[in-house]
Amino acid sequence: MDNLPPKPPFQKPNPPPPRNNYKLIYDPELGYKESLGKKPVYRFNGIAKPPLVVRDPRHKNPLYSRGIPKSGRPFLKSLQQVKFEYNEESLGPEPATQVFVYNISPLVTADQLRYHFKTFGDISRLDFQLNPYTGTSLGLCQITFSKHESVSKAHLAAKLAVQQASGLKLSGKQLMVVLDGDGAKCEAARNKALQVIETEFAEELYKREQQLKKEEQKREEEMEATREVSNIPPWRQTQNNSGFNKNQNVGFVSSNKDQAYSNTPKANDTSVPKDIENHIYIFIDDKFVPPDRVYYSDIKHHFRKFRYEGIYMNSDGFFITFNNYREASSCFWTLDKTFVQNCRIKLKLHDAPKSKKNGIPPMDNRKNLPKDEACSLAISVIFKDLEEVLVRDIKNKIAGPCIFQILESLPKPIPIKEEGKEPRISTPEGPESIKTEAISTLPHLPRFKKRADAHKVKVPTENKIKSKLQRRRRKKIEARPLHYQLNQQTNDFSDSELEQEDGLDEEKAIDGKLDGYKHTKVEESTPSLSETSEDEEYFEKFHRGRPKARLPRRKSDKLDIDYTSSSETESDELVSPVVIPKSHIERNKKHALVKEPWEIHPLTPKHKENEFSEDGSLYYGTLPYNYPEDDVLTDLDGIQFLLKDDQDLQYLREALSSEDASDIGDPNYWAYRRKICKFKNGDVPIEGSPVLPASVGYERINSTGSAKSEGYYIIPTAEKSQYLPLRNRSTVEGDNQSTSRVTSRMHRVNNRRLAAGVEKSLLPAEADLLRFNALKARKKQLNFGPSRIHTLGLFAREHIDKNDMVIEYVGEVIRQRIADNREKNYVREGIGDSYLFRIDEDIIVDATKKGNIARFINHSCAPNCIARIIRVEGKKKIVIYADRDIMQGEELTYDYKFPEEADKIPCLCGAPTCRGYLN
Amino acid sequence: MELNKTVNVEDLVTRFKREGHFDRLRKLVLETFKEKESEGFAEQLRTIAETELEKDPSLKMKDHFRTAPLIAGAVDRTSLYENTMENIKNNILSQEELKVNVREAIKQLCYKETDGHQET
Repeated sequence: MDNLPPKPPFQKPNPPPPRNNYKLIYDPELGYKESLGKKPVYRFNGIAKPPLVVRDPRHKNPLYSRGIPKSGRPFLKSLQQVKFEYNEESLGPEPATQVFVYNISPLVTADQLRYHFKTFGDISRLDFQLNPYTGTSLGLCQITFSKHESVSKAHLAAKLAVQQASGLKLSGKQLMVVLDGDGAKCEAARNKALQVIETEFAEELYKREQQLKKEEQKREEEMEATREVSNIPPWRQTQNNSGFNKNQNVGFVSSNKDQAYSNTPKANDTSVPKDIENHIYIFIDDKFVPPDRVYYSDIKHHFRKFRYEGIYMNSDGFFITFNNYREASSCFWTLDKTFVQNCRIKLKLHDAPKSKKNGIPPMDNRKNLPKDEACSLAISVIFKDLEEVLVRDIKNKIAGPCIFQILESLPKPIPIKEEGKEPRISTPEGPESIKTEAISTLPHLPRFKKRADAHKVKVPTENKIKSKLQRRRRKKIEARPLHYQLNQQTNDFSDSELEQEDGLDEEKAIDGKLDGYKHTKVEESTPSLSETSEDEEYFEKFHRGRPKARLPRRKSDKLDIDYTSSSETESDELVSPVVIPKSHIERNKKHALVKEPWEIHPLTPKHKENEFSEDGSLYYGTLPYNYPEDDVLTDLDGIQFLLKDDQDLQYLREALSSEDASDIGDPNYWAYRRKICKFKNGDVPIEGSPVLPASVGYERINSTGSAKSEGYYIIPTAEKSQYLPLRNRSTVEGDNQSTSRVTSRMHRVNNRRLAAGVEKSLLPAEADLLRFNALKARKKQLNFGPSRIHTLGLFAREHIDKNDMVIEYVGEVIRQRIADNREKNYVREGIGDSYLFRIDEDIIVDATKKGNIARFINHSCAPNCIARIIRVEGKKKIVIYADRDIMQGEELTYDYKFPEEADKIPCLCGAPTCRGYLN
Repeated sequence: MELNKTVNVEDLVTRFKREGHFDRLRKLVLETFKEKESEGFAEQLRTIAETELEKDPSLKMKDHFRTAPLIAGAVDRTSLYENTMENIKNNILSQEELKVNVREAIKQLCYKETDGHQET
């Protein structure tokens, strides 16, 4: 290509610049080819003499499509266009993700639109434009596609919508869809539509006014004419003035009143009030209601259906006043040009001046007055206001505080009351926390208070102490959680009652000094029950001795007491409360030992004593470490632990020899009760004590101890689902019965054969129809009753063969929107169960309020029925068919086929193949 | 001039209140009431409260914040407030001083208003 082609003359550069567009294609001097001859071949403007054939150079290489040899790059069949996702870095406006749909038929609903446009992409917003006055569709809609995934996807969806939905026919009108990025088009169209509506509205108003005016004029003229012709009673003459000239009306009425009454003998209360102009009223001209034919009562009767304020009349006619304009206008539209006593009445609607808003007429009258009057009036108004305010002030500022003062000054309710309150507040958390938390913190709290009480109580007479303590005890027991009370009661009934009696006997015998304490001690027989009161006792005792002993000293104090109590058990006064039960134990052990070698082998009271006094550490037996009273007491377990051999027992016996034996019945039983009581209080780990069956998860523990006494309560479905599948027998394992039986189906088949082969040529749908009709008469015998699956269920009362129709699901047929509403309402009303059955996308059968027993059929994951939607006489119906043979008494179930949802409804069908959830 | 002489009563009253005369009046009356008659009033209250407490002894046991409204309700049901209001009307509100004061204030307002009209 070194040789340039001979250049064309360069003289005329201007006129045809494309002239020099030559290319030398063949130069014989470079390489001679015979086929092309000796002359060089030029291409001018892309045209050569032997026409050029352009070929894809890639086709020269037959292996080109395999790609570059030995490189991994794949062969591209076509050029790829580079696409950039729109993101925040992108330049330019965002691609449109909104479409504006117009020319929508007014019958199309937003839901329908949504349904159609959903196919193009996720819709994030669908603004269906409504006429703000009437709420009807404007035929405009703005749809925004969701940009959640990516903007370009939404844009694509929008484009697709424009492409495919334009021209789509919905309810007879072709949709028009355009891209509308910023919603301006929609806005404009909406404004335009609204403008049109408004102008129409205005025009209509104007027209109506015009018409009214015309009518009035005509009437006026008529009246003029008639008045001229005939002689009219004077009250009638007024009407051409007053009938239409409102400002003068009132004056005329009043001036003509006397005359009017002379002509129309009617009651006074019907006379027109002076301020009639300020009311909204309907006027019936007198010419339409001749006074000799139409009476007041007739008019009243005629208007009885409307809520009028009053009916007044004068010589001009009747005035029917209304409270609000709407009522008046509706009355006007319904009763205009109707007949009263064969007289056709024409109504005239009168609106209150300045509309209804500022229409309280008396105000207007009073408003503007000359100065002096205004002043005096204002003063009276002010004083009236002042009085009102003063009453309020006195109530709030004087009476209120006064009452409080009075209450404060009242003698305070008896201190015991307060006392009763305090533990009530403090104890609820008590029993549990005492066990779990360290002893040091909690127990102090009540003790301080108690001690104060103890001081108070110190001196009073014996009786008082007793009664007081009893009362206190009562309170305490009430304040405890229920299961404590329960235990208390059982104890009372079983043994402590007896003990109490014993104790009382003892009291009488012993010096009266500390009877009261004793009494309570005996009653508080369960270790955990006695804790508070017993603490009290300690403190009382401490404070007799050394009132200043406080917390830091507590431990040693206790030790002192323990020492005494354990070493000199015979001194009753100083015995800690649970020592009493202990003594009982000893006693019953004595009894027991006589009869049989009881389970207590090791016995050493001395040992115990030593332990306590020597190192101050304590023996707990099997008690948990921080058992509240374990620094002092031993219960049965403790004693069992302490008494190691016969010697121990002997010592113990010696120690307790002064104690009287109390009757505790069977010692074994007594001991058992102790232990179980302790166990129930949660003080003891399960091992070693009576073992309860392991919790299965659905074991309901009744706070009262008895399911019967619990009353009505709802078992949550979650709990039900744990045990229902185990017991549910609604699914019967398929035991296919003999086929020899004549089934109803065979019966029917026979019948059909008899009825001649009509159905041979029928279409399947019609065949369905026929079948249904045939079955209509053959509804199965069913009844509903409590179901194992869920509340009520439907049960077969006869054997149902496979494929037999069972029942039709009957209910109100409603649209989707209504169903949505209803569903909300039902939820609000607390109807938890759904009886809505969807037939198709927009039709739903609602059996909640109206329906048949088919609504009781429960869901099962292994159903024995199946619901089919069939057409009967053009209407879709839901019919339940047996999916297999159903035994008598078996519950009917079908698969609800709920769509999957986020919040799951647990399924309780109990089928082995249960999915676990309805949805 | 004829037109200017009419005054809107409502406006007048609101103006009166807005300028604080009303509240001052209210405070004044309440103060005088407290000084002069509150003792008798308190006595009456006390008797009512006591009868009420006798009727229902359980009230004593309740919290004061609960009993107080109950007793207040009982007081409402008696004619105590009406009577005291009568008293106030007769004794305090009928004082010439007070009335004159109010009248003066209102007249001033009146003038202001009409003057304003004239100027505009």
